[in-house]
Amino acid sequence: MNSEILEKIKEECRKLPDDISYIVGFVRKRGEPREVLKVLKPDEVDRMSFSPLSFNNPARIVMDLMKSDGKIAVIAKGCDARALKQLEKEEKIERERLYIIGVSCPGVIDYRKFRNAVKFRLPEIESVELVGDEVIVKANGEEQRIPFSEVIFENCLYCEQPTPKDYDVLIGEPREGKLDFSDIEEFEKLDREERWSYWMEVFSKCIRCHACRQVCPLCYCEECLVDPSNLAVSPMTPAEEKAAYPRVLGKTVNASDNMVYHLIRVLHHAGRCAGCGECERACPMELPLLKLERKLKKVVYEVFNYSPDEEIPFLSKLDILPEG
Amino acid sequence: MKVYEGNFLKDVVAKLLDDGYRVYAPVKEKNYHVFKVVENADEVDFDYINTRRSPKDVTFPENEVLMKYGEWVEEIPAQADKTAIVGIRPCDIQGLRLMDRVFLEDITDPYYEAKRKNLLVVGYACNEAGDYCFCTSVGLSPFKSDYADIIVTELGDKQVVEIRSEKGEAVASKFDLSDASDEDVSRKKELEQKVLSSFVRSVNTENLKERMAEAFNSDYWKEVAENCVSCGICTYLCPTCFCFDIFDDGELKGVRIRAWDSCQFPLHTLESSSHNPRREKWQRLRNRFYDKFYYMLVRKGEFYCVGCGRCIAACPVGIDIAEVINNIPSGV
Amino acid sequence: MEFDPKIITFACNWCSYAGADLAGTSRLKYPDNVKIIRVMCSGMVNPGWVLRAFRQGADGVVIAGCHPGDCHYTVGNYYAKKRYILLKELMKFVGFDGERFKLLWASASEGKLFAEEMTAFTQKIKEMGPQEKLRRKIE
Repeated sequence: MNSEILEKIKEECRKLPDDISYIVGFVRKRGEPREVLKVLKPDEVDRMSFSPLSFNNPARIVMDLMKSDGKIAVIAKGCDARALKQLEKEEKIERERLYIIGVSCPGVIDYRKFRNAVKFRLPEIESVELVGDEVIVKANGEEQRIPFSEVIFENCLYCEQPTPKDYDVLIGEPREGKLDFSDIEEFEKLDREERWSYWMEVFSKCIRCHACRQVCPLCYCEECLVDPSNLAVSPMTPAEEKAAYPRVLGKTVNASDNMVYHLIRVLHHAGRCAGCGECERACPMELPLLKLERKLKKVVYEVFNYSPDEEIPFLSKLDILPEG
Repeated sequence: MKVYEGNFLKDVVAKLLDDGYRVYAPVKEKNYHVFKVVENADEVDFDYINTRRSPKDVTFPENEVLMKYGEWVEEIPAQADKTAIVGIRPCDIQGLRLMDRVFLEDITDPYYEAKRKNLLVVGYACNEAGDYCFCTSVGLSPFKSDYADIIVTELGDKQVVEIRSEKGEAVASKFDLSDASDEDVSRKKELEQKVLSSFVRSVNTENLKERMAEAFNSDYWKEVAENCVSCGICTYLCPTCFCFDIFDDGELKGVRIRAWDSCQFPLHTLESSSHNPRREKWQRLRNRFYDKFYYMLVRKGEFYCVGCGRCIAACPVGIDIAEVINNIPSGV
Repeated sequence: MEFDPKIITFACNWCSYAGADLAGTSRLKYPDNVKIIRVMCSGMVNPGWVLRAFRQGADGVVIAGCHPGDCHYTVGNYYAKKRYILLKELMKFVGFDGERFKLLWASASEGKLFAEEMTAFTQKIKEMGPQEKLRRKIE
């Protein structure tokens, strides 16, 4: 029951330590059943909301808030906590300034599936409750029951840690995750040309809005390898140097160039990806970007035998190379 | 007002394909529709509220090659085939009109002009407002458009065909159209009433110019942009966002390309002196709202938002242009 | 006309480049399809460069560095290997011909090995034919 979870979250937020200046939590969006992230003051706890439609990852906002002073409390699901942990390993956030209210997460709803499944107009919906295996949507005095399996965000089925590992308080009973790469193994069985034409079709839809990069809590580079400008622009940079700056990729939009962009982006997430699925959720063209991320996760597990729980970041660990 | 027994849109696609047109029509892809070049009238699916991407790439493609260079420089002339877009919604037709005002009014863009001149626009009136639609708030109508060549209204068993230009007349004359009966007219009126009552979202445009002028320096924009991630979804899907960037792809041999750009990207306004006038994301996000509802209102006299609701539906963090405009604080 | 492949080799300054040099001074022959780009260490080769090379029309890409344990910068070649495995796995996953991408350990004394490996790799690429999958589309 997510209303119970919400009550517990509120209760925990009311008895937070005094030195907390911000709470990064969810509030309900006006005119829609979903929640959006919001930076709240400790006296605004009553505005908070939580449901299986609280799918965004707060790690990005937490990282932004680290620039200001004060301690931050954050509501984190399993994947959010993994992203926070990774950012902590990379020294982007200070754990001492963070108070994690962990939520044991049964999975979130895929908002696109939900919009198709629900029979009400969005502004009419009063509440969305997850009870057992059913999502109960209430509107206009009526209710609609949707099986959770029909609207669950697909990536949540493969979650290896639905319960945060690192938290200050935990809400809900801990859940077991599992390591499951069956979808990737299934895909690998296709032969090479089938895989190529599958990805070409996928990437021909990409419009290069770079939303996958921007929503990703781990894509925090100030300037990206594929950005059109030159990294080292300053008033003193001569025109020749600007022109000669090596550019991996311009803003050319076609299937193979889009693929190069996505491969480069995904490669930077090897052993880091928290698997929150923000990239896939954000993509306006609904590309299966997590498939690439999960493939790399599989390589990291199987070839390098590295688990993201380890304290040393994957890229700085060198004793895990296979022989030869 | 004429009536066609059957599916006029589908038949017009087939006819135009026969006549050698390049036809853009809505095609269903997985869970959404997009305008695509079709080769066969059977690919087309008209069961949609609006397409995921706006059809602006018909006249303003995401990549436009302007020049090739290598041993010689070869300029690519502006030219276009006979093109038609079938099934475009009235909000997107307004989008097209607003784009015309940008690319053809003061300075004529030859690439855009060539494509626009050869374009036949067959509109499709809405039978239902989507959850994110608010075109009535920005002065548009979900079933009227004087800017299309032909506009079609679905009545279920037949379609009402309204011809708005000579170009449209030339195409429509090839079809067996009968005059609309009084019953058809009243059925259409009824439908329009039904559509108008199905809107659930609105924007308060009362005194908007003054309200926005007043609120420019408000902290409100920082609050709005709190969870913005500076991606390009809103601008790339918008039917009236026209910013572009020109760059060269290739060193000694390559092409000069005009590509879409977005005011939400930090590099969009980065000057070569390394000064960036819109450095913070709240400044960039504010720019988008002001562009749609203030700057263009001052410069061109109308809103540059057509109320299609694409940016609201696709925003990954739930920023809602209608809410943002409605909640602009006063007296700051 | 016989297919004349373009092969880009990123060779590290301390081992492989010197190895290639040795192959030259020892008058060993290897195909001129191989274009060497000298880098300070195989560990500095960004996977983006490899993809860029393929995009610019390379038919094969080789990263050549010191043997494990011999790196001038102690561990650079370990990073290279890590990146190589990740990129190659990903390439195979998306259906790109992973065989076109190769990692080679060649020390400064292994001129013969360098020449042989390059000859074999060129031969393989010749059999595979031109690389069209990632080549730049607008030209």
